Amino acid sequence: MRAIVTGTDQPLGTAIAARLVGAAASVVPLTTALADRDACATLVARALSDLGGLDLLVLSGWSPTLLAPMRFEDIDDASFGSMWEGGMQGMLWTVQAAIPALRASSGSVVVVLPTTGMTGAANYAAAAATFEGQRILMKAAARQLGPEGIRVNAVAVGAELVLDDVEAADVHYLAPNAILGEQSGSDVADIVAFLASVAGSKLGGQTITIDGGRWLAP
Amino acid sequence: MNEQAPAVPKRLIGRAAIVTGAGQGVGLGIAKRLAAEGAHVVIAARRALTGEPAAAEIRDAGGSAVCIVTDVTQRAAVQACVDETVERFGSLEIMIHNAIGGAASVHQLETVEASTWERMSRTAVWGSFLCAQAASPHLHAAGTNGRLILITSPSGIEGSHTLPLYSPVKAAQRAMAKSLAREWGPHGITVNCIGPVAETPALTSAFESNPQLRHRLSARTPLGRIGDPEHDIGAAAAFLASDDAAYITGQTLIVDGGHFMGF
Repeated sequence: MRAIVTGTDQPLGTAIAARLVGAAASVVPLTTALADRDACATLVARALSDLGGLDLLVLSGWSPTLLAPMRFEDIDDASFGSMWEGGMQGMLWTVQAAIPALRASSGSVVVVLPTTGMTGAANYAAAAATFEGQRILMKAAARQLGPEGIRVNAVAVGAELVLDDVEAADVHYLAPNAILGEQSGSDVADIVAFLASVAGSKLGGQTITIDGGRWLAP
Repeated sequence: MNEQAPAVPKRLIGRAAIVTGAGQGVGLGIAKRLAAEGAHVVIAARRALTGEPAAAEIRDAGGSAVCIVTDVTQRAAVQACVDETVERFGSLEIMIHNAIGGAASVHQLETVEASTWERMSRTAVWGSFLCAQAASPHLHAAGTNGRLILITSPSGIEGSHTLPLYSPVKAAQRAMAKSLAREWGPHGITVNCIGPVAETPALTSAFESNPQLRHRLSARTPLGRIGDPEHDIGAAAAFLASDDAAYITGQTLIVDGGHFMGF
């Protein structure tokens, strides 16, 4: 399997890349969060040429500005641009550049993000908007690209694995977790590997939530 | 409906509301209903050409409305609109962001250009950000009367295969609303979304270019008709803006005749 993994400078991305390499995949790490179409195209083209094609694109990298809490009124235009445009265009242009190679291999895309977009979060309004934007772009991509054999899915992970200050998000669950124990980066990596595998080949447009079984909606 | 229309309640007397994109369609329908319920309404339209007649129509019907030409993608313009509203009416209780640009053109992810993204991102998401920030001090001053309402779409929940970039901007608005509902909730301000389907100029032109679409859409809607911007969507907005909805926040109200039942 030939894979591109973004965010390998962060623990989750590292765990995902390691899991794929362990399964004998060739992995090219990619630093993204570039809001520039040409720059994303260049990076992806270089990775494709190193790999000789592409079976899996994993988007699991975030700009550090997305992860720090910020009171809504304190977000200036530059910060909002770096969070929202960086996050969305980074994903959009990376996926766009990978479509021909994924079509050729009937490959798949997995977007990894925190549950924050689904829950909403105080002091993380721009981040929540970006993560939910990415998750629903995943669904739209799945609908448009699925009929061509490209599958697109998401893994939503517990916010504490991603956000700098999960307390500031002010998201509370009253009910007990639906599973015993917490999840780690390698557990997330297992789900990513599953989605990319034959066992996951009937899943498209789905969000698999691995957060200890807290967010159970809908 | 053939029965006599029920009397419109007067739940918003003396409150000031800004409605963006209110020169036509859903925005105009909302503005008309808010004015009918007693609110002072600011038609924040990009063009005076649509905004001024909309305000005049409301005034002619006995309502209180002005047009303030506003480009929601520009911080200074949004701020000026809010400042002028407060100067004129003394407060701002209700901010409704409905404006969207470039949403109607079908696009392919593989070939879509940055300009298509830009138009929708700037109007829907930057517009929400700028409107919410500019309104924030006044909504806080209004306390339990403070309302932020963002107009979204079922596409922002389930993803659209024909308008793939429309989906994430509508999704982002829902997540922003949930976040601000949490952040502003302790002050009594409510933040909600409405996902409408209504007879608008945009939908009418879509029907004209694709005559089957009206029938298809109606046939797949349990209530069997396309919504009315004022009586269906405006009524939902007025409810959310009123004291009757003071305990509702962080929600998306889908007003589409039952077409989408994904919750």
